Amino acid sequence: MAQVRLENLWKVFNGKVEAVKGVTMTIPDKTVVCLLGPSGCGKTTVMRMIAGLETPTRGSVYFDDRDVTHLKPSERNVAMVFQFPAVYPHLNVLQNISFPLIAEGLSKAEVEQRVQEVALVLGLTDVLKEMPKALDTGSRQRVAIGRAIVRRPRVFIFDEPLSNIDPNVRVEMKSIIKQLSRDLGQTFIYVTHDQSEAMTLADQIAVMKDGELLQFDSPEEVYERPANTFVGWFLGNPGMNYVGAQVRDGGAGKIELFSDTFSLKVDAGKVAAGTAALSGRKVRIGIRPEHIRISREEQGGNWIKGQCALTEPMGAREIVHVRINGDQIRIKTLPTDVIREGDEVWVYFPEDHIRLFDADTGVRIGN
Amino acid sequence: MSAIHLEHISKKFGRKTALGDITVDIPETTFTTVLGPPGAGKTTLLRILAGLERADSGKIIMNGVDVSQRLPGERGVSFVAQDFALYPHMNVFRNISYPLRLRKTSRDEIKRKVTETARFLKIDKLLDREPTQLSGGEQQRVAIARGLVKDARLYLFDEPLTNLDYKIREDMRAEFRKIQHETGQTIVYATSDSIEAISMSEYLIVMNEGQIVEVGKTTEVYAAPKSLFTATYFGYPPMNTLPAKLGESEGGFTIDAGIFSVNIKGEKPRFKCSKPVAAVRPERLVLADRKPDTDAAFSAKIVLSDVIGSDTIVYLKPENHPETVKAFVPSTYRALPGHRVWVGLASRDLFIYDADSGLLAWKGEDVGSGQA
Repeated sequence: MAQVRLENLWKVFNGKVEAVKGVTMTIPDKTVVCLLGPSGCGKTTVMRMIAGLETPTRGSVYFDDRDVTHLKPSERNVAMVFQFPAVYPHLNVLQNISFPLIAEGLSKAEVEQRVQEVALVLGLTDVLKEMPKALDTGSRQRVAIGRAIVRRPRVFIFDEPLSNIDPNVRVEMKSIIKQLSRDLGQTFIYVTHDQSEAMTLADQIAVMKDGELLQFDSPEEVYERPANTFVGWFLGNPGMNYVGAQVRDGGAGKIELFSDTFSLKVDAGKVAAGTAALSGRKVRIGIRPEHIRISREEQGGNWIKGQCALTEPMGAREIVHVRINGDQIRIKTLPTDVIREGDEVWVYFPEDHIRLFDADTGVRIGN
Repeated sequence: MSAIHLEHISKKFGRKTALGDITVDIPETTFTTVLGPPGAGKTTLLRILAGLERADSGKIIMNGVDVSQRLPGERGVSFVAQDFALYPHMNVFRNISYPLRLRKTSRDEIKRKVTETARFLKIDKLLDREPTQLSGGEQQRVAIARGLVKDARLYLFDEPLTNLDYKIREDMRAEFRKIQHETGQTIVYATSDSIEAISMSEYLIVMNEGQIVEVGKTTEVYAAPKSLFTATYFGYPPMNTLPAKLGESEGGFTIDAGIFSVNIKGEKPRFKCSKPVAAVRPERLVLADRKPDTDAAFSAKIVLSDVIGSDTIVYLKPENHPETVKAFVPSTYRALPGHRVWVGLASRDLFIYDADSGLLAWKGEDVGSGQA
């Protein structure tokens, strides 16, 4: 068990490729944290610096109050599970899982007891005598997880452990990992590019891009209040929509978001509380596809006129693409048979779900 | 009028049957998806259409002409294979424009077509790059663009989005659909991904083990799959299926699926099922803390809530039952693993299949709502 603290962590490869650029974060003890981002964002390099597989160019790694920056991986008491299940092919499942304990010199009785416990949690009890090659990838990955947890390390690191698992088995694996993380009450660091793994497994998500940490928050916060337009787009299926607008005072506690073709008056307290006068600023209105309402009937008030560019049936849902001004937004609805391509439509952004972002920097302003 | 007509096409590789006696029509100016798991015969079917593989028997008729013996270059077909190759010594622009230059298209026309297609595929800023400077996903999109600019009667794509990032796939699905709507091309697109099939295609061909399982308009196949295979394969996630017992009742029949049972008034199954299976789409299930007022309800424990953005797939273990049931609900529904919930469903959302013949025997919408 350990709190993991990263302080201004940098990694520069070959003196020029900046893979990680000043990441500072505190991973609380007994928390599942997902490092999430597209390929090349630096998440794997951060993980490797925590594990001790990579030395930071600058900055420090602490486990609780101990500086471990220059400790070898074996001195950090970290257990890792990789993308490709790492198991000893010439040892059976029982021997694979007990290997780290025997190496530590534990008594036979204790090894036996711990291995049985772990096998039970991972559903491996019936295959303890099998050789790895007799197992499918999902089961081999469970053996690799078993070997990691049996040691009771201070920190668990999972590096995209489900990437090579058959989709049908992935759900079972997710459920096992979820269960484990709760039962063990340990610090889990889980690296993934898959937003749904992050949303499903994490207590907190760290979103990275281009070597920088963009946001570190609970899944709900990251999803509902993204730090910038990239985070809003990266999470969600499809991601957050953005519509360009300007701001002016709307009177009576309201602000007006307007463009050439629309004007929205919204409660300043709800949408932009805590920000100094926004008047005159150029913003992007951010709104998630599932929060937008759509109608074919002309509507007054805050409804915006647009044109349907495309409808995409998704089975249980439908995605309607609508052009507003120069922007195209996507709206997620229940399957409709009413709206067709080319139709004039009206859309409504509920003010509870409106987020504002700076038009130039993409950083969220207000709520 | 059907553009392409396949008649009794079969193909073996050694002893292994890749395609067994396939007869199907592919409509013109339509986006058709060939959906099936790996090994279903999708690639072989596309390669035979392209003329890259010769069928052991059968005929291919395109616009009334038998093209079975024609060489690939004589069929007017554009084919983007899964293991495509770019010309390493040409930049992106020259790679994409290659098929047009072969046909001596005018310079302005080439420029217009290439830029437009590159914009669709979001590679318009890469036109000067060499293939080696591109990521795998970018190379793949260059290959798609090259396939699309070619002037052809038939466009064939073999799982072109499979290796792309999730976020890019999301955009590409919409772009593919848009391109087809705007150009009216005849596209045949092979995939094992249900979401691609649902979101892009008008027409669907479902394949399994070298056979065609079902064909039809995509929305109609989704609404009522005629085969049990389609029901359990096509959907995100696909249908829940439970072995069931059918019984007699006054003016109707009963369905006993173990965890729930319903009494149906009205039309009975079309034929006698030797192994009946009850099926229901995950998005038609209702989750509630208290027993819901639906035609049928059962209690279950949540195994996992798999959050897919704004929607969640909830995996449920019903009491005293070995099967896992999936529900597809908005993510605003939040319940933790281990929590007990009630699952409700309506008779009109039920389907009965026969596991022996694999055919649809009965669907709930035929008896209307509130009839249970």
